[in-house]
Amino acid sequence: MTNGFYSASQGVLTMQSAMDITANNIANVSTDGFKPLRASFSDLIYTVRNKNKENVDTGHGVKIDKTDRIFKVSSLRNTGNALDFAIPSDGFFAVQRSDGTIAYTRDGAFSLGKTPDGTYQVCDDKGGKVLDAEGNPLTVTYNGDGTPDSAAISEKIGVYRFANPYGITSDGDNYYLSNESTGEAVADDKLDILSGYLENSTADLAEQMVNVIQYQRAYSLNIKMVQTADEIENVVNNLR
Amino acid sequence: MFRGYYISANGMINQQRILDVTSNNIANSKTAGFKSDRNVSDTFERQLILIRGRKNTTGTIEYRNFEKTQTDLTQGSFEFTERRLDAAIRGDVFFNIAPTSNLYEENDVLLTKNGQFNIDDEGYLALGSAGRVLSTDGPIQIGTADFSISNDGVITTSDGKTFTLKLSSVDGEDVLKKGDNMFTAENVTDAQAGNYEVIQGAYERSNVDISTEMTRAIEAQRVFDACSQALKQIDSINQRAASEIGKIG
Repeated sequence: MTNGFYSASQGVLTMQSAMDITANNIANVSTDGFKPLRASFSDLIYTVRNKNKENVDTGHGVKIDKTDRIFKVSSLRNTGNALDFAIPSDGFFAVQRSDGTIAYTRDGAFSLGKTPDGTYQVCDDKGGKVLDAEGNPLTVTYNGDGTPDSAAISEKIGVYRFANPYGITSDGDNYYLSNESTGEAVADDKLDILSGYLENSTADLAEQMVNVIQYQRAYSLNIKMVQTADEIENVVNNLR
Repeated sequence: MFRGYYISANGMINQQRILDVTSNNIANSKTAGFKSDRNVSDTFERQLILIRGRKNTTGTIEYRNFEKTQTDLTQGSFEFTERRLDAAIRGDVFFNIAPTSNLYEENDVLLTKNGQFNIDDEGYLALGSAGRVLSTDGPIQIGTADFSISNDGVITTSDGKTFTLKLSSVDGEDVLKKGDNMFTAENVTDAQAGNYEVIQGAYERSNVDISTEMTRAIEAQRVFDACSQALKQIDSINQRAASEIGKIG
């Protein structure tokens, strides 16, 4: 078979994977604090066709080399709920999950949970405890009548930042994990935090639809090339 | 035997190679910094002279009229992403990459137009699995994504470190592709200031023009068909010669 056949089929497979990535971005256009991924393509090896002439080389298709996270602060929307928080810069909230591990999130839809001993905890919608700048679960102060003082909470929520927020690993449920590439999370008390707001998803539907159209076109063009290469083979088979 | 027989066969092989190259271009129509290839063919007569000039032919002639693959270094358009780790260069200037693959020697340098950078586990500015981005003083241990790149390629981080991106231009048009969006070339010189502009938050798209590629593919396929028809006709002439003229009795 010809090289062209395999290059094009590689193109078909790669465009399909790119479409998978885009589909996930689109599925999350209304996920608060979501940061989309972008497929980064690269070409494959080139082989020399003719030993006497170095320049006659043929490529072998394309692959997705990596996915880049588009870490961009999105628009904020007013919810009027004092326990909704948004960070208008590249910081993260830290949450201690029920298994004790610490995850980071941009989704600030928190609520107050009552613990068995009658005190309150600030937690997220998965039951993780929101941490303060020292890395301890937030302590809630109370008003004179024994109700929790929500206004004081926004002062205490810890905002953490990474040296390289583009490197964060997704862990599902809007959680991100630190790794070697991001560096350690550092509490930064200079970063603002807005109460009564949530951050919209960074995945923009229009932008993602443009990607869908482009990948789909690239997909069908690659299919066309597979067909063309196949027809060539057919002609060869019918030579006699 | 008829010469035309081999000439048409050679025509078929050449068209197939054009398809191979076109196919690879189309597969890479979304690859950042990709430069399209095209086939440069040569006339049969010139090949003949070349072969004769080199050695005494014994009557057998290579009917290869396929000279080389030429890479089209035309600038691709930019996509603005606002991602701080993306960079594009306006002008015929390349980023320098120190490859991590063990296929290369320690001090080998590759060129690329792909500016979709990331930061690797040791804090170096890198390009995926291909390698690390080079400054004039070697790999860039940047450590933070909080930096800005000036138009002349100077990176300044928020904690005050500065690096000057090593940028190179290529004399002539001959570059050799190495995969992973990388190039090498024979005559690499340092880029002259003023010939280029580095743009942060954007990357260069592939310069593959889909309509040109499809046109070329259709053309190649038709020429292939035509060559195969010619081959069949010559074959039928041969058949006649063998079965009718040469009939005994």
